[in-house]
Amino acid sequence: MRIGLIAMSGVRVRNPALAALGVTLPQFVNRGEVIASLPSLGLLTVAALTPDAAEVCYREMSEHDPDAALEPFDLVGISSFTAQMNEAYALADRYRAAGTKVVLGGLHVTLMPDEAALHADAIVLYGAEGAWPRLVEDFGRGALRPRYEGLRTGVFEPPNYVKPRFDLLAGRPYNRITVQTSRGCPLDCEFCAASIRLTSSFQQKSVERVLDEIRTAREVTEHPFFELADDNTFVNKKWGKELLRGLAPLGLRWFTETDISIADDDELLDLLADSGCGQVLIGFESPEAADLAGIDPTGWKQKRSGQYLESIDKIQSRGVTVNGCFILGLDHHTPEIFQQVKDFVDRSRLLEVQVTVLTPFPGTPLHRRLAREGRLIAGHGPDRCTLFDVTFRPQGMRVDELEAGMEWLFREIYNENEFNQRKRHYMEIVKKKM
Amino acid sequence: MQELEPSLRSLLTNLSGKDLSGVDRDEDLVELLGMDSLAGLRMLAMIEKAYSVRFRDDRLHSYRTLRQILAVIEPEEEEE
Repeated sequence: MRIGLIAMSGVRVRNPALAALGVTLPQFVNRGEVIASLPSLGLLTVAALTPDAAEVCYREMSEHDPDAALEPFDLVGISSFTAQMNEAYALADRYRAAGTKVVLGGLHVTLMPDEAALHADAIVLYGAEGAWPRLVEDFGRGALRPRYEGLRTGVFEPPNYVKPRFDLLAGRPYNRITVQTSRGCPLDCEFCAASIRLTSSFQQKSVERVLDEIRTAREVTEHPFFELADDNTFVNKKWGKELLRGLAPLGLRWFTETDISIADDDELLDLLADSGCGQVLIGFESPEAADLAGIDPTGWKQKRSGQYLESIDKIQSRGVTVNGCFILGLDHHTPEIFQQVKDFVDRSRLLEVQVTVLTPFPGTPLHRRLAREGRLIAGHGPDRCTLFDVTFRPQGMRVDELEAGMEWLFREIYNENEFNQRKRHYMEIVKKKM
Repeated sequence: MQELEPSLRSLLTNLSGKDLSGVDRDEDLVELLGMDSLAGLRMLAMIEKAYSVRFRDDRLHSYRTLRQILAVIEPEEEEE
């Protein structure tokens, strides 16, 4: 049996003005290239869950060419983010028309199962653990069922845990490798369409397993740069310190996503720097506390916003850069937000900045609320959920104001001069530390 | 060979953990050492501090070889 696992990869921007602008802005392009070069850890995990008797082929598809010949497989599994889902569906439809059974899975499929089922012989909801081995077995005896539910808890415990098939990345042109240490995030932000939607509670892998995966992944490519595919790595500080102590002797360079609370713990910050962490990505969402009302159920981010500047400085002074994320179009945002974000970025001296537009991904609490309020824009469906295209009517400004403001802000923060200033700031921090 | 070249090779060897004594002056160090963009900047920062020089901010991405770096830390030699 030959199984093809196909990941739809890359970044999409539908707004032509923004797309044209994006390719000219150095820091925007840099991050876009990084994201596009990340492998699908989900499919590498699916590959590891596949019985040994089957041959697994891992493929990445940056765009779907409807005229390209289909690689022959007995069974095809496709995973895609929301913005590329229509391309995934088109590919699935072609395989099915050619007589090949298709399985769809991943975040979007979990959130929109009925829609996905129209384009698949079977869909997998939640994690592949607990579902995929059964599915392959059913397929082998010609008894594929239309829907499989994977595990939402215990995914990192035996017998469910498998080590992703990093060996399938051998010969790939990129050196970025993802390793997951956790699924979910206790903050539960309204807009989040990440791994929290796959789990019933925060799941964390043992440090021993994480280190074992990293050692295995290092055998695949020279000088790998690791991205931890987590949504919030340092929820548990004790576990985090254990991980960092384990990483330090490996001489890695790595990146992860976390929250601002790491700045409360000096020991953790020192360990972070010693472990080779180059950057942490933190969702600040908005510089003003008032804008953060309702973002997460407990108001955690709103309570923390007063310490943003001090916290960024504490982290960056260790030589660990902060990639600060901001979301435009929150309910309290007015057209003043663009200048406010620019001012905050200047004051904070963030070494990298990620600005996106509020995006109601189908299946999220935010999507349900905006649908109730009649604020979703008709015709702006999942393929516009790129994080850069506006798909809803903001409360404090018009859609065109949001689009124009975002374009202005992109020019302000992603231009060559700003990029160079950030690089210089980083070098001065390094020199100060020496 | 320029006067500072041996010490530069030694500094970069210590920094990277790889013996760079025999590396060609035109070898791309970023590629050779598998440095990400931040690691590249760390290298430049360390060189700046060690030799009391300053690389041009608008050309930080272009200092990738021993020759390019030597041209900054020992400019008069490079012009010969």
